[in-house]
Amino acid sequence: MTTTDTSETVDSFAASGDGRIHGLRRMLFRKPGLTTAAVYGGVGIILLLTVIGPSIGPWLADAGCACGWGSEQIDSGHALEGPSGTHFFGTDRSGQDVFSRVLAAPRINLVIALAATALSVVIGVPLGLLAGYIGGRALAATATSELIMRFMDVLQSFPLFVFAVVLVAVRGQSTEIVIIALTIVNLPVFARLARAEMLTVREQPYADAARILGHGNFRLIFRHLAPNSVASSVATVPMVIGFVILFTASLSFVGAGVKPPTAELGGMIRVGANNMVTGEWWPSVFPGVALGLMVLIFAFAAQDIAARMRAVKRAEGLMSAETSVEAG
Amino acid sequence: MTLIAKGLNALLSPFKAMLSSPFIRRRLLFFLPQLFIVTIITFILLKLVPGDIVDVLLGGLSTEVQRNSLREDLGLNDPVISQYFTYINGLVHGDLGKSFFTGQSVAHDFRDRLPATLEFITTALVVALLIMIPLGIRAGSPKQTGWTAKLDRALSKVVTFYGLLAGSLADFWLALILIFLFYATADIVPEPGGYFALGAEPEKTTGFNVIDSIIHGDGGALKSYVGHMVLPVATLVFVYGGPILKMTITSMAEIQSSAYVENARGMGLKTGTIRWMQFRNALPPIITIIGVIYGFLLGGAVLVERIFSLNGFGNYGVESVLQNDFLAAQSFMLVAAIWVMLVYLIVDIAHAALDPRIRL
Repeated sequence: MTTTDTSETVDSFAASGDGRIHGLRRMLFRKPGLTTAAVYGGVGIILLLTVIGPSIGPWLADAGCACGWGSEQIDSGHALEGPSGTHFFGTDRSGQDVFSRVLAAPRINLVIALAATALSVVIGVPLGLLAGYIGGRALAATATSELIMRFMDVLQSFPLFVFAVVLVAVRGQSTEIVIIALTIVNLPVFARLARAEMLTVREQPYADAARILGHGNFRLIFRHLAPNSVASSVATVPMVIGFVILFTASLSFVGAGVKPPTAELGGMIRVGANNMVTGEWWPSVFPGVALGLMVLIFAFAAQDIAARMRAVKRAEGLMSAETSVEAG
Repeated sequence: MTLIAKGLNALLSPFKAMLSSPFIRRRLLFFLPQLFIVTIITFILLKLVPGDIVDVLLGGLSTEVQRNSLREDLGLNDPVISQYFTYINGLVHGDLGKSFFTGQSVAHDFRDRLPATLEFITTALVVALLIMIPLGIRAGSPKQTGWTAKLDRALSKVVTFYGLLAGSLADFWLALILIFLFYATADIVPEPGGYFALGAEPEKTTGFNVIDSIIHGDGGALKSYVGHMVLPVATLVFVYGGPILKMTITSMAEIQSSAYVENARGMGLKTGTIRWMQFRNALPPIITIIGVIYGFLLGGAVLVERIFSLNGFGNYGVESVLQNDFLAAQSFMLVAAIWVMLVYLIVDIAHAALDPRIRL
């Protein structure tokens, strides 16, 4: 690139650079259609349940309804009874009310999912950005970059589930350890995505322009490159949240996740597992449906965001094609 | 003799070409460092056990003499670095340690358990491919005109929803639902677990149940095994066929609007012919997802194995962790990780075989 091109480069910097930052915003907030509204409604209901879910049972009891039970309260003498007016979803083998437990359980599942996902974004994305930025330059930098990515490869090749079970078994069963295990499991996903985007973004004309304008590495990365390299990571967040919810439930199902009697969907399915074989379906089926719905809502959210991202990418493709024609 | 040599040569020549490809060489070169990091992680994992590992392994009721001799056996009195080298040395010689829970060498346990799991997940994968790939091809390249066009569009809607649903269901929950429906309610499949009356187990040769019963001509055993496989296989197919189907559709649909497909359509080629061209070029990402799933299932089908009392490899891994048998768990992780790395290696080689551009 010759020096006479500088003005055009700076122009295209303005176009594609700002375009992409807008792109991220557009991807998240533009034009809520019917599906989008439904998705956000679903996420809203999950959030609402996270906040008030455990209190609904006691509220019903206060209101004088026979159907109101605490999520850990035991109705002794009425264990393993089918759905009825006092127990909408029946009771499990120890006499706990399945309905109030299904309402209470999303709290712990969602809190673990949000915490683990946030942590893996906060650690994984910068690692990926770093690996992407320094890779293929000086020898030491390339080596560091390769080391980071090969380490991620290896992390991903571990049997994730048993890896998490081992971590929990080794360090003791607690919510924090479950979160840490799930963070490690999801680190590579974000590191990879961020690195891949950084690799293309750092070659963009506006990156050169910023370098020519004399911006240091630090400012270049944080002001110009990083904001333009996170779109696919952001778009992946809902999918990972759904995955973590399922994973937590699986851990609890083998008894390595959330400790009973805390209401948690996987643990509840575990309690009812043996009853399924003998025909009492309600202790497992209702939490399973709740689990499926929760994950499904996040899957829809992921799909919705991916569709917007494709639209934004297409628009950008058109835009950069125009600029390159002008520059050429 | 020379004819055989020639034939062999012809068979092997694509692979030879592959070995001379820089990509494959680089790829093979990466395998060793990866292996090295894997062993470091499995080694460190054991060191993370809080307190004295000897206490954990032997349980509360052990004498000082027992503890000391075990400590000596495991080389725990040596410096950490030399412990690591002892560990690697053992691995190289096929020594995976001793399981405290089963009382046998871990390698022996693995030989017992691996075939059942391999048989199970391979069957599930093959069934999933046979169903999902044709469906995905159809849904990903719907006909534009004619009476089947409507059918294709409807199919692609149904199939898209199924893809989302499959990704959202917990496999262990689906397994329970299937047991409830087909065993507890309809009673058309045998009870989970309990293959044979005690002492009536059929002979074993390869360890692969179905293959063994065929070798020995044992029709009763074959029927029992196949009957017991139906639900677990159906579970895996439903849950893990989803991503395969989704990837097939996306990959086919991406190519659907490319110039050469439009051109082929314009020239009046049959839909079947065009779909075949399209599929060949859509294949690499599909192979990747198949590899990811196959690699994952060896250790990831644990819960389904447990629910159906399939005495498999994944179940062994979780069981050993829950029994505090960390030496066995360590080797389980190692073997499962190596399995995944091998599958990924094969995936990359397949990519290179399909796409000459990658071989550079």
